[in-house]
Amino acid sequence: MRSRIGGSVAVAVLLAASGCGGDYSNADVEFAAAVPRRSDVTVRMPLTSGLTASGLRAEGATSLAYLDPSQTYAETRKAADGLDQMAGFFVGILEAVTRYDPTVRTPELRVWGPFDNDQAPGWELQLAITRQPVQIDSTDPEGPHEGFYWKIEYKQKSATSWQAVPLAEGLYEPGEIRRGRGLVFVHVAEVRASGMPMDDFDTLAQIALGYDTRAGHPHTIGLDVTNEATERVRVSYQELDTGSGQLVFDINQMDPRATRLLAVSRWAADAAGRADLAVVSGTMAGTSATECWDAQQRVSFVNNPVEGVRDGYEYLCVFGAL
Amino acid sequence: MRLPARGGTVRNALLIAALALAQAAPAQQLRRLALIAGNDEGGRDTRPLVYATQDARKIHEILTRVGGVRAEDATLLLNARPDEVLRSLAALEARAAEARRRGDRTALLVYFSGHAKDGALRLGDGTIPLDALKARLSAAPADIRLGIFDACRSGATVRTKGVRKAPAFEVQSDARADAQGLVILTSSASDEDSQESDLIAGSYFTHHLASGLRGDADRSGDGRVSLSEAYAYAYDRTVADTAESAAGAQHPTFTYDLAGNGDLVLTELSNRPEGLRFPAAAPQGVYYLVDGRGRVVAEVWKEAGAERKIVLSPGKYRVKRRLEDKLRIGEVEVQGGAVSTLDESRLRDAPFSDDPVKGGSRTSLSVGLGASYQAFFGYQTYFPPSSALGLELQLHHYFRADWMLDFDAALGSGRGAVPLTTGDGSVPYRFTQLALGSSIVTQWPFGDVIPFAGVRLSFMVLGRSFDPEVYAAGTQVMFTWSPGAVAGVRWHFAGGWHAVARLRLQYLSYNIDENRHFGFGELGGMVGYAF
Repeated sequence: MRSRIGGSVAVAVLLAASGCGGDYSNADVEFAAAVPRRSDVTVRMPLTSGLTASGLRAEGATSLAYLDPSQTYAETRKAADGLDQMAGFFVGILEAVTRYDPTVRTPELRVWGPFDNDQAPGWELQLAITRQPVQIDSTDPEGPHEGFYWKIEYKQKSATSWQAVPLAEGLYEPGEIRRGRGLVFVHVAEVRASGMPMDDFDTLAQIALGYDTRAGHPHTIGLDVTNEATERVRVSYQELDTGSGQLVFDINQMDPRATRLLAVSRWAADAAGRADLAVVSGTMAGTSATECWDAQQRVSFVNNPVEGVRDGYEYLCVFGAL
Repeated sequence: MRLPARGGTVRNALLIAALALAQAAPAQQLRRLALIAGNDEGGRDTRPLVYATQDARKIHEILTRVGGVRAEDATLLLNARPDEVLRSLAALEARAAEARRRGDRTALLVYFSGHAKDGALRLGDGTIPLDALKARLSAAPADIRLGIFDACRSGATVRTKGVRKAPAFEVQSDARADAQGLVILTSSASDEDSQESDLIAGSYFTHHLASGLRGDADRSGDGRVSLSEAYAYAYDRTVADTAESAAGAQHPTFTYDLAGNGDLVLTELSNRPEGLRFPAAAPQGVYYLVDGRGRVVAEVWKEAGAERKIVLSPGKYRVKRRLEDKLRIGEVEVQGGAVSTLDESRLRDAPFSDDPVKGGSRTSLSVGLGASYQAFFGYQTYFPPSSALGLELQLHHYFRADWMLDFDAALGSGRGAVPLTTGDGSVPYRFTQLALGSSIVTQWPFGDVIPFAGVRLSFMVLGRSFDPEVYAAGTQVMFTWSPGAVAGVRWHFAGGWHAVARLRLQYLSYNIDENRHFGFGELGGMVGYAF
């Protein structure tokens, strides 16, 4: 009898020594929800406007005529992909990292990593999220709200400390779960200067992005991109009711013909839309252009004085002039 | 005269001696005094016994019921110190001396069940040298002095009395007949162990001695059980039961000098009429009478065509007769002042797992399917209420009689939500739990209803899954050990089928977000089958 009991106790002690643990954490859920999802910073639209900074029409586009395939539609798809890729860069890091367990858990802090940076061998990344008061809207009279500050830090694997300026950082003010508003800054120039490759960002210097997914508010995304030549593109996206939406481009560039361009692209739920472009400053200041397309992305109306093209019927446009 | 300790010559010599004592005095004319002591503890280097005090209680009950010992003349000492035993013995001696002065014939009986070693009885940390005790009995101022010692050394697989190999315990090592009226019975020979058995919940020797005294040893059928009858009965049964044990056969010894005084009648069955009669028509075999606590109070060897009667206290008893492949069990009630008759037709077939003997004897197996509802005491945002289905495997009478070793596995689920402390709303999730547990419980059988209680240790894997759109990791898991307690009732409702209702209270430690200690309760039921 004694040997039976002894054996059972030994087995129990041995198993008990294996301890307990896991990732069962309420706080992890909250912290992980503080970073933006891809859908938060992706323009949800059947069509994106992609007017380039170099002119009134998309590069490589041919002259348009009534019922031709809309070149604006084709080129803006490419531009939209670029915008998504820009946001997707840091969102991809966040998504990949937060699938793992945090390596540091304190009541107000979670840290994931460090992880190897697959895009830059020899470099590693970590994500740190701190629960703290944040103020997204500097004009908010209520001042800071309970929220989160997060940052993606980076360093060479041989280094002992993280770079002073993080790769990306952000603020998040939660509303309901996964609904809130946030700011994101990607410090491209500083990262490039540190020596870590940033191939996807070409000559960009900094990316600032704001998003608002709060319930009762339209889904908006604001993107502010500056390149090393101090050219600047600001893009504002607003998702409107019934699936319609609009993008507003405010482009400051070095082209003397149009040092500042404003473009507004709107679309309806069936993908029919209208784009209006105006040169605000430059030698062509005062010039404007309009293109409308139907639900099949065919030109329904085009008026481009620079190209000397006017065709179609303006009354077919789903939106009126601004 | 000393009877040999082994073989049929023992019985023959004893019977011859008994016949030679033609002047046997009627038992009721004796003033009988008894000191009955039982000690489960034997002090250093001994392992506690389980049934020594129980054996003492049994002998005390028999002597005061049918042994002609008045209650005030019987002293029962359980786990007493040597000085207490000797003081009580002195008091009885004084009482015997006083009775003799008044002209009464007297008999002094000393019974001890417990450890013995190195020539001394062990009473806890104290000892009483056997030589001294024997001398004390020899000189006791009583016409008949009877010593019964159920004690010896240890064995291997069956529990034995004593612990390690040591010089032989021998109450009577010589055959000198210099003590007139002195009789000494021992449970085993000088070089043998005395053994306890979970099967009969007592020592073999006392069990059979008690059964014999209750009436099964009355081979002459005169309603009396004499010393020679009781010894012959106990000898045969003890040797038979222990022959196959790892400790080896145990041979009780008998040493006496009753010259001129005649055989001693130990129990007078007519003193108390209540008991149980086994009619001649009842099938032959060994019948066990089991009390409400699952203890075997008597064993009756019923021969074909012979009637048997034993004395029992009023109460309900379960009757068990063991066949090759099953049991025959039933219930009888003995009422005060009346003799009940066993009715074979009221016995039913039952599997071995339904053995009513508390000693449970052999380990048996049962399996069951169950369902449960579980709720945590607080922290329900982490661990919501859940329901589970489970499978259980139970080993009955595993470590010892009426203990049960239980293995269980259960899979449960529920739904909960993580409330946001920063922000509004909550995050819903689906909760799942896998629990692998083991319990050790002890049971208190009351017929078909068996309450039980014990301890449980479970290994728990707790998990929850979220909408990946809300929580990218999707799932969380936690594993931990959870100790606790379990209590419940098992009800045998048909054959090997039984139902169980139980409550578990468990402790849980959580250490991920922070260190938390809390508990949970689980109410469950199970239907099982015993093989």
